[in-house]
Amino acid sequence: MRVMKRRDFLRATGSSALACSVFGLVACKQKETKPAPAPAVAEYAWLFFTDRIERDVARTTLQRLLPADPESGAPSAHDLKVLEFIDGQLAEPHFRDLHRMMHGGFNFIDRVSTKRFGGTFLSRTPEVQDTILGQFQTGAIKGLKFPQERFFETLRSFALEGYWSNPKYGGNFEKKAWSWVSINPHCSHIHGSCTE
Amino acid sequence: MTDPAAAMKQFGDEPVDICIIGSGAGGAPMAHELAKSGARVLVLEKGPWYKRADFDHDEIKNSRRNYWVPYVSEEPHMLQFSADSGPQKSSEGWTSNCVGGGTVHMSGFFYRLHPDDFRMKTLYGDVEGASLADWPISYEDLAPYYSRAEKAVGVSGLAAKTKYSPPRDDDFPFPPLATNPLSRLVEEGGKKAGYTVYQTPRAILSKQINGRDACVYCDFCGSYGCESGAKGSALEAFIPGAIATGNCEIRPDSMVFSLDVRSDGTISAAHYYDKDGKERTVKAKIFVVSATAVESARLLLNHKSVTHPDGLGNSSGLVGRNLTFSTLGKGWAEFDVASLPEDLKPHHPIHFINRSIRDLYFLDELKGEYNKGGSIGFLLPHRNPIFTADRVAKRFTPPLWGSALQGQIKRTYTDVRELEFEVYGEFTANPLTYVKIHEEVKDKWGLPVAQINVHNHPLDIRNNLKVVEAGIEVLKAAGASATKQETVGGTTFILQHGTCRMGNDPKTSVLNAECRSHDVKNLYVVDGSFMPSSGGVPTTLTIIANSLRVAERLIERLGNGEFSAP
Repeated sequence: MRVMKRRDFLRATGSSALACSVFGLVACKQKETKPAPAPAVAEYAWLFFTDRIERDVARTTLQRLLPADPESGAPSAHDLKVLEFIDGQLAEPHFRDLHRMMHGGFNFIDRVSTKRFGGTFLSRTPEVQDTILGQFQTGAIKGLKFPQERFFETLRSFALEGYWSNPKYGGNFEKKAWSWVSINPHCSHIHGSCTE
Repeated sequence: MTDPAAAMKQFGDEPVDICIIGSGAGGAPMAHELAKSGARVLVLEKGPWYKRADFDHDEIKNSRRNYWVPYVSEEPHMLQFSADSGPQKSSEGWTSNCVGGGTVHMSGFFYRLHPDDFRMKTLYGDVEGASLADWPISYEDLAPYYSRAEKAVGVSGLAAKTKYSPPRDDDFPFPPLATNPLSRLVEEGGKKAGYTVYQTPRAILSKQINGRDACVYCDFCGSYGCESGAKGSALEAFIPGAIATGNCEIRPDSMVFSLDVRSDGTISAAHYYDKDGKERTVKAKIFVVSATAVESARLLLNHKSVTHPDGLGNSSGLVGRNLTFSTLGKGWAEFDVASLPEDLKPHHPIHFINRSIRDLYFLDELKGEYNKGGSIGFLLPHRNPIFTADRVAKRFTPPLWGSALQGQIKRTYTDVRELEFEVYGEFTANPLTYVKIHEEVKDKWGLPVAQINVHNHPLDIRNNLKVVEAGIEVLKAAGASATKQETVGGTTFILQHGTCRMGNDPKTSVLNAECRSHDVKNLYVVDGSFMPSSGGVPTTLTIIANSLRVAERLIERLGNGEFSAP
């Protein structure tokens, strides 16, 4: 599975860094004189969000749920690859039951935006996008035969997972969420040992 | 640590003396004691056998998926609150499905019950809408086994005399764990509010013992397995010793689905699905069921035969009835870092607060009425990052998102310090809270699932509110800049009791004082099902202590040759 490959790559990178600290600078400098060719970065192959428009609506929605925040220094959902995390999770067999609702939810966001807010979701201002999402959250969109609150809550939950989880699942890219608030849940406070 | 399973006795298809169904707080101590006595013991556990090396701090794995508890889509419970129109599929009512059961991912708050918990009917008489009963044993009967259980598990604490502390004549086997300096705020607040604050006893080693390291203070106890072995789970405290006798086999991934009953009404065999889904059979002299109060009742109720038409051991009609949990209260407070004393401002590496109040176990202001309250345990919020973000969001209605959430999260990690408390209140047994079989919904094996009907007694809710208010009072007196009553009259589903209530009268109880079925002479039930009342503390210690007590009687009976060969 692709995510696993990336995890393995990150692990390998971590091992290399550790080796430098253990064996000293000389060994590392020797490596630096003959740099290995940079590995090709494979483009992410989408499993659930295969439709481009749906993917863009989903990505924009996540950016509104968990935006970059200059005041607090928060990275954004996009920075942390939250959409990739959700894509990987929805591809798991036990989340198949959610597929219909999740596809329906992003479709309805765009349709509601177009019909009631004057244009596609992607074309609206962040303020209007927030208004639309707020209405989904509270079930305020009248006449919509769709579990809008349940969809929003499911997406909110996945978004928090993708933002704050162990990076091996494809989100929290480079542990940027943990770095933002200076935590590492995998390390013991007393011994500093980590369980990753 | 070597794998205890490597040299384990393998019984194959041989008959055994005792077959134990479930390997948690009830089943594992029984396995340990009986195997030590020389009996041949086979433990069937429906879940996998995790080892220390499997345990990590991966929140997705441990807290958000099916590592401990099955997916609703595969093994649902049907949950019905009395006010709802119909039952809904739910994962509530499951505790950890693995060798060691719920003790593996417990927090390990190991309090004893109070002597009056054993005589609720005598104390309160008939309470409207309640089904109170006295226990057929007293606190004094159980006290020696409490001490034995605390030693076996490795409880760290400090004996303290408070208003409603149960009597004890010994110290805890291990000194208290180190705590976060913020615990001082709880002590100061408690003193100002007029309550006695004491050290919470924890089933976590403060010192190393053979084969188990002392706590490394990683802060991941509740919802996680312990990678150092410091947490006194059944996996650490009982299973290795049971296996080392050479008389005990633990068989994980074994889902028992039926029991064979002879014409004399006793059980001859248990049938289960193994890890490959293949049907297998175990013959034994004695069968011990310990699969949680919900699942044990389900197993017995799913069995219907000529000799047991209403379920196994159910001539009283009480299997599944008198289900109790723990009445949950929760409160929260934050303290501005800027206004804290200098020594409390930095983050501290230790996450334990470990402070409790038991002064409201009985509510003095309601003396003469049904005044059963509970205990308060203070703690720092769990440092699970997803959970942290979610609880910060959910402190607002509707839950916060966007820049507002990002700002609140940053503030939570930097500008404030938080304290929480949990109230463990009496869950009064009542006719509207029970387990029955849902005849239409089946699990992944095609077995009818348990329906859990829940009704919180109004007096539990009233009394729970008073205990929560006291907790808030303490935090305000400690200087909190903000407080919130988060839950009043809730339900802690992982603490389960009562569905095979013990008593002396076969018409009003399922088990006798030895936790032996009144009807089925070779059937014992030793999870929380036996408890006639829930008490106002977490009950894992009580289940372990009782299991040690029951094992002692059972070993005597085995020695007397009271059970026939399978």
